[in-house]
Amino acid sequence: MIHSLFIINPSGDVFLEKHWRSVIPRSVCDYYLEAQRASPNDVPPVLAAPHHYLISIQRGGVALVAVSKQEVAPLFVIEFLHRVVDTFQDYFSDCTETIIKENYVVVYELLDEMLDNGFPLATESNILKELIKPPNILRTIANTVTGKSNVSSILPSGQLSNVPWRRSGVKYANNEAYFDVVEEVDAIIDKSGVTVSAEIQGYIDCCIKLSGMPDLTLTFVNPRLFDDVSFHPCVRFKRWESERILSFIPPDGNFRLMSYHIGSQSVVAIPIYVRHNLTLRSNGDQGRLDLTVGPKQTMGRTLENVALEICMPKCVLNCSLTANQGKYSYDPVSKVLLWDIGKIELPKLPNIRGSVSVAAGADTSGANPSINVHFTIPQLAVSGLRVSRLDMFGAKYKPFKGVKYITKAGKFHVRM
Amino acid sequence: MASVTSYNNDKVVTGEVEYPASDPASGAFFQPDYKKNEDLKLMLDGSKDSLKLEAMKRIIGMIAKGRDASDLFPAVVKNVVSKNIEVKKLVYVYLVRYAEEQQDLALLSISTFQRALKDPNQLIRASALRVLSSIRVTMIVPIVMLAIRDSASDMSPYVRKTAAHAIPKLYSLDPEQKEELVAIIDKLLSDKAPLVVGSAAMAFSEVCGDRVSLIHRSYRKLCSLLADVDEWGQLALLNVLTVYAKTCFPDPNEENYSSDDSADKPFYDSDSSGGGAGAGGRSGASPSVEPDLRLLLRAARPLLQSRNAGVVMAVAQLMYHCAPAQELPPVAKAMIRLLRAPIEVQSVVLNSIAALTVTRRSLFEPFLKSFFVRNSDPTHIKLLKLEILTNLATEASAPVVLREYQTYVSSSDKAFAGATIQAIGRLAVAIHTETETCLNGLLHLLSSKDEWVVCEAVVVVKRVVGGGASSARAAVSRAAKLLRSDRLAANARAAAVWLVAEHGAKHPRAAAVLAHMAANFADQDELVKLQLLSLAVKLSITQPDTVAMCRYVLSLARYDASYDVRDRARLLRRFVDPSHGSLLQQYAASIFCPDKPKPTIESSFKDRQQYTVGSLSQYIGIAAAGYRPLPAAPRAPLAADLREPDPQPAPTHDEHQKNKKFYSEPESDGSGSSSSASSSGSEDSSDDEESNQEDKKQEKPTETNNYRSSNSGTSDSETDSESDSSSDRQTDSASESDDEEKSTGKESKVEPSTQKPNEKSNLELLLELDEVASSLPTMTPTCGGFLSPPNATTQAIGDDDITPVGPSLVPTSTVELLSRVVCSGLGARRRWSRAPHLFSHKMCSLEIIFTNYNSTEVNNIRINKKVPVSITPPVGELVRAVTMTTARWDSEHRRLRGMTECDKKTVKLNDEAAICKRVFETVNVAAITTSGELLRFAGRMMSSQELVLVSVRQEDEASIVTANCGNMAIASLLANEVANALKS
Repeated sequence: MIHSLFIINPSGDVFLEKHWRSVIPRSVCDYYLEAQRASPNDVPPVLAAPHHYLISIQRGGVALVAVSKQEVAPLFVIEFLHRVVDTFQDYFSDCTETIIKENYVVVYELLDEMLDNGFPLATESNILKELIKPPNILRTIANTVTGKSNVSSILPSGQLSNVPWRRSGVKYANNEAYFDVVEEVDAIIDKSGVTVSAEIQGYIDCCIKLSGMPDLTLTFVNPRLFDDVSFHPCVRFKRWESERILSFIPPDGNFRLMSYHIGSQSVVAIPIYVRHNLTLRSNGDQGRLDLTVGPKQTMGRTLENVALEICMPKCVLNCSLTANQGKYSYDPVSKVLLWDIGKIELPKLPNIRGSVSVAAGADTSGANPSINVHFTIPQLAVSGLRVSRLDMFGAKYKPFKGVKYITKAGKFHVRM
Repeated sequence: MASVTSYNNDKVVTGEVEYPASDPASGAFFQPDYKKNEDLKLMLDGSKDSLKLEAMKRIIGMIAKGRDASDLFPAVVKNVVSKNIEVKKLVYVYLVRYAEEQQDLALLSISTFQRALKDPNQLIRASALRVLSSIRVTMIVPIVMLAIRDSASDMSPYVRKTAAHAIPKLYSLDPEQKEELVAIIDKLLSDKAPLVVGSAAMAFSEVCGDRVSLIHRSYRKLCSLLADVDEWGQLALLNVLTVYAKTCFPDPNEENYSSDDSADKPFYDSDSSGGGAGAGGRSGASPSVEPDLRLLLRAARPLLQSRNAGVVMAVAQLMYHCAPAQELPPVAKAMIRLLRAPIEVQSVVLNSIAALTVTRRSLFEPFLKSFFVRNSDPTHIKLLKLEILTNLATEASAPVVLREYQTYVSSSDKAFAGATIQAIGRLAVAIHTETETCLNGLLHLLSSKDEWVVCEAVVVVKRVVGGGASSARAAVSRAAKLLRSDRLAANARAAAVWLVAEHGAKHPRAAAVLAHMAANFADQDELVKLQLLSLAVKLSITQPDTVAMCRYVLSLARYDASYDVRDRARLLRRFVDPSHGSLLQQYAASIFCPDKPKPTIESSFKDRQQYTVGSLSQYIGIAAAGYRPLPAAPRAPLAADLREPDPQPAPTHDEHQKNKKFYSEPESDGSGSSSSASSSGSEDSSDDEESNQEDKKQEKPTETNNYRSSNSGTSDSETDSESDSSSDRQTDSASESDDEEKSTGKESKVEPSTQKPNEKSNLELLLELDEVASSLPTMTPTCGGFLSPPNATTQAIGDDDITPVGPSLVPTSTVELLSRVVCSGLGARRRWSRAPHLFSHKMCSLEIIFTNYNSTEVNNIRINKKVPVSITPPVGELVRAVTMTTARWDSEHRRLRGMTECDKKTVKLNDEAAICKRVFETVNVAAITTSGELLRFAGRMMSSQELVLVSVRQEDEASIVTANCGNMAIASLLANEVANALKS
């Protein structure tokens, strides 16, 4: 179980601590800080200190370090810490040091509500929001005038019902249900343009604003596509297993309904190609770089927000390139070349070429940078997934429904 | 608490508070910090809620930043009664944080929570219990215990959930409450609300995770509720059920299990069917799975689809350890899905997979590509993926993996590139078809420009070639070439020389290498010199024409600066120089060129398999504090009827009495020889229990007994803490009553638990006194110091006219201790004999009567299987009768008035003799006056020697039982028991 939580900023200061059992001195964080100093981007999530175990996550520039005195499932703690950050983001729209410092009272109340004696009590956003109202300017003013507070004195009814994720008494003038089908393509393309591995990670994010207790069913045209799925607790698993239908009473507001994985067994279309040519040391201290990007298998859609990110070898001092589209920048300290292309309009293929200056006498062999590719394709789910229909039961009104598809690059790597 | 507000009103503090900071005199003297707190104090003392809230927010800010705010304790705690809910909440937060440091002041707030525990609003009840149980002050243990017990049977499942949460808190505060808490956990586990069950499971694993017998009854219900419990509850429940399944069901893989490497699994006895069937060679028939285990697996499987990575991992743990092997592929799939989760999750999942792939390679083989490394991964993830790839590689997939490795080798991440070279080496050893390719690749790396890569490669080549692979010659010539080019770092050069010496002794190039190196021997590194010496000697054996060169090298070494080199030269000279006897030279060949076994390169994750999948211990590779390994599966399943839900609720006390009669009949037959064994056991469970709890306690042992007997021999290792420890030999004398020594040292911990909610008159009265600090001591009779009750003086008065006497009545009824069903016909019954104990006056005697219900004679009774029994003395047995004069009784009674007195109203009985008899049955006291309006009885606590006075006063309608004792908990218990005895 979680004994204590410390939140640490990038410069290594503990700026918030909370203890659910006896106080553990903050000096225990030194073990974490030591590991962080050794390798800033490579801190193992579980560290063993002499009498404690530190389990940490890093998000939004801050590190959350949970301390336990005994054996505990590490994934339980990690998952919980992520849930904490999610909740902060939900409440304050972001989770940074300044925002936590500004709202430390609400943060403290939230942490108190979420964990009791190191065991989670209420983590559903709908329930928490009924217990502790999220701060906003209007409410702050109203509270000052009327003397009310952000803290509720009654138990949210959801806590006791069979649908603990949904708050009761929801009422909207406009009833809407929006579904975003987002697919991310993870791929590794090797030097010669051959796909080494490709997978699709998809999720369906919802924004549901429906009055009362609606019971929704979502059907797909081709549900067989899914390799593996995971659901929000609201989805009835039995019906999925027997009929491949998503049947659920949704939480109020934004949430992730399901995420799915289309694995390496099925063929994944790769919608982009990069032709690259990097020679370091063609003549003297100069090397040459030539990159061309083009669409491939996009089913008639355009590639948008295309950006290439190359982490150059250490020997590269600077780049002087000319791009026929978009802008490029090179950071000589982190050695990252960023080329922001934007939309790819067909006949013209974006190209960047020019010379790179290499440190004299540096060893250039064996350096093989890789390109991180970013892109989005609107109105396309690259796996071919389609929602067939959405039905609603348990409420009389007619809601406004909408489905949006989008494909993005996930971890899309091209090796050079 | 009205007084507090009125007090504040007198002061009329408003917004325009003059900060003491403005006073220059004090400002120069005090810390700035101190001044700030002073102004916070004024704000808290004020009457405005907004100011209080502001102050509390600032204080919480201080706590959050880790600054000390403890000096504000008195000012803050006053506000625990605030009407403003936000202020109240913040005060709670403060209170929980600092109560441990300011124990006395924290007690001021207790009565507020006690009142809130009876609030009609369930949220307020729950939060009161939550805060009350979070206050880590040992003095309030009885109060918390009472609150937990009440809340555990609350109407609202939310409050019951909170009660479950409170159990581990109280347990960590006072582990002696364990038995009582276990009873409550038992009750909560059989709760029907999914909300409660998850938390109950959590409490179970925190407090008594090894007592699987508690689960039997609710097992099936827990399985069916699993899907409805919230995700954190699922996690706790899955952990509990995994332990349960492992304890109670035989391993479904036991019969026809064939792992990839069966020798690695010590607890799967592979003697039954040959483990050499090979991977995939499982027999067609699916292994038989217990129906109850099947129930669990079926309930758990959908949870693989949970969005919570922790739940998925918990299911994976259950399936891996308990399910038949052919049901594991969905688990692998779900674990692969988790690889898309945040880095921290990936790290843990990859770690588990790495450990799993050591034995269950086939499980993850289809997902090989998911473990390909990306440049953007952090180093420790890269290393984990590399480890998994190496474990997964088979003859078929090795080319693909090697191609990947080729890319990795040139990574700019040095640690990763190095690990890749190591991995290639492992692959070369593990997969024989690829040895050639790997070695070629490694040798190719030897000519890399990167010195670091070369070093690593030489070391690995050295290891791969180790026992003489076919390509050793190629390796040697490559190494020889490298040595000539003089580009190697010292340790790589040493390794290269070793390589030549070990495998190239017959190689024609070797002599050239030696000649080249000897030319600049003096400039070589020490390590290289040592290797050169052995190369020289080896060559002199295999190629006799190089002896001259060998001598040259040896003489160079003789005058070396390093004494290690000189020593080595002196040693080796004996083998080369013919002048010193030929015996050494005779054996030189077998000394320097023996056949060496091939080295094995193993996965570093091999030893992590012993830990439960997904546990912290598995991640860090050593057993963490509090880690409990899963028990070994039994050979035969436990009887399923244990898991049948109880047909009727726990028997009431009356039924129990009837049972007693029924069972005592055979004893009167006198059929068998009844013998007695003296068991001087150290009873762990000396926590005193109220009588109505006893019914439950009586059942539990029998339950466990069944389990033991059906499972005899296999699980002796885990013993319940309440089992008796040893026994003497059987004695011939028929029914000699021996004493069970019973430590009553802990008896002062008796809780005021028998009080029903509406009757806790005294205790409550006491706790209502909140602002007067002088009344505080009265709450804590058991702790020393200034808080100890005034009864300390009773000792001083002198005990001259208080004399111990024998018991006025020795109860004859006995209670069953061991069922004859359990011990194959031998039954045991117990009775409190009230005889003075031989060893210590602080112990009380227990008589155990063994009866043989069989027709045959029983010889040589001993304990060879452990049967848990529970013996808890009722509070009345912890008293010894004393007598005194009536006047003395009256004066003692006056001294013990107030909070140490407890009154109870009960039915009126006219016959004084009957009253006395019932009192004597309940409590071991002596009568002082047996007639008149007031019947007086007296006794003394065995352990603490405190006086116990019991009196029964006859009134018009009813009679009033009064008990006085320095330990008020005992007083209330006694009053209750006597009153109940008079009623019946």
